[in-house]
Amino acid sequence: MSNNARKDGVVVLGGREFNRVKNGLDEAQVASFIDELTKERDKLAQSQDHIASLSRLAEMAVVEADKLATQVKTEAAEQAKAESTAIIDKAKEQARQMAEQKIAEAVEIANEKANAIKAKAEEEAALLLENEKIKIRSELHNLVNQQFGYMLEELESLKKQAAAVQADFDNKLSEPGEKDSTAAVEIAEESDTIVAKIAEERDAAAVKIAEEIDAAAVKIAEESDAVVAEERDTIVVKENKAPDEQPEPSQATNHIGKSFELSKLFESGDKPELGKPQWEVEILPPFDIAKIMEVVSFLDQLPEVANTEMIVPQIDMPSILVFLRESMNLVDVLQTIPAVAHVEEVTTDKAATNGEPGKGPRKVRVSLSGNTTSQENK
Amino acid sequence: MSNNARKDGVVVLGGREFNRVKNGLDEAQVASFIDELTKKRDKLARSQDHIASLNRLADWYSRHY
Repeated sequence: MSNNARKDGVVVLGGREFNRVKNGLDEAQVASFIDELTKERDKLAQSQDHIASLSRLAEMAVVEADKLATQVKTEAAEQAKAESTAIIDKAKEQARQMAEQKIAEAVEIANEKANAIKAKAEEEAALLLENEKIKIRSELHNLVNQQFGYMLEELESLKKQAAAVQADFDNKLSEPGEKDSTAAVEIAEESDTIVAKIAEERDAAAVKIAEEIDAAAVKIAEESDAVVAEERDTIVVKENKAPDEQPEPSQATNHIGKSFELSKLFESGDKPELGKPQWEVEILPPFDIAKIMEVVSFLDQLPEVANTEMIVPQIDMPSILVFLRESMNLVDVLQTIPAVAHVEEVTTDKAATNGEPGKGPRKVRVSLSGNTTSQENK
Repeated sequence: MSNNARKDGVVVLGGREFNRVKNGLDEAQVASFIDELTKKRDKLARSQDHIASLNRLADWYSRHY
């Protein structure tokens, strides 16, 4: 305020012009006061500028802080992501190890159970084999006894006929007198020779049949051992295999061949004349000798049945001829046998005779129960 | 500045006494300029007070949060 410009009649104070007037205000006082006010104003204005600078600085700091916060946030997210990935990988590895451990334990338990099942199956197979051996031996013994009975009856009949012939000759020769006595003696001696020869042949045939049956029994037992052992291993290895699987054609053919050999034993020896059969029971594959024998034994025990005869052709299916003492419905009877699964009567032109002479037997087809693959090759 | 007290030979402008002298400054012009300066000063002073209040509020906020 001290550099106020002065003109004539005009005073400049604080950049403002004041006119001089008559009886005006003291210039020095006014100048001092204006100088004081302008200093205060300038001081406050400077402070205001400083505050504005601080505000701009604060705004910049806020912006930088926002950027830093964003950066920190991004880095934290990336770090968290990396840590979570590591945690997940570690958890997966632990889960994989646990799964492998559980699988190993399960496999071990399964192996233990499989071994137990295998041991049990072996025991059952051995027991089954032993039972089948006993059953086949018993049936073969019954068959031998039956054949012996037939032969003995026939031989006794022949013996009686020979004795009757000899007695008849003796009577006829004694009537003419002494002249024929020599011839009578010769005839008697010849008759005795024939009787002795018949008895000798009878004994030899009986011994031969017994030996053949024993050999067949031994052979069947050996084959059943091998088949049961093989099937036991197959059952243990292939537990999921279907139980009712049909045999292979070669197996069926083999079975028919074996059955045919056995049928020769059944048919060996002469049986008494029984006429024509009233029923023919055809057996459908798969075949089971034990079950077929069970059916035959069951039929033989019936009072209505006089006899049965096993027919095993080379190609066709085996059948049982049934000779009746009195009429009966064989279909109903067959359905009661446990070894028989299904019974079906075959209606043909020759059927429905039930023993009438000159006509064929009634035919019935049966399928055996259960799957006995192990015994089919016997 | 309009309510300036007047005595004989003395004029009060902005709370300050000015003597009347022969060939002095125009009272009206001086009064107008002084009024303008005081208004600016008062406005800046209020702004300073406002900023001081905001600083106190910021201090309190930083202490509590």
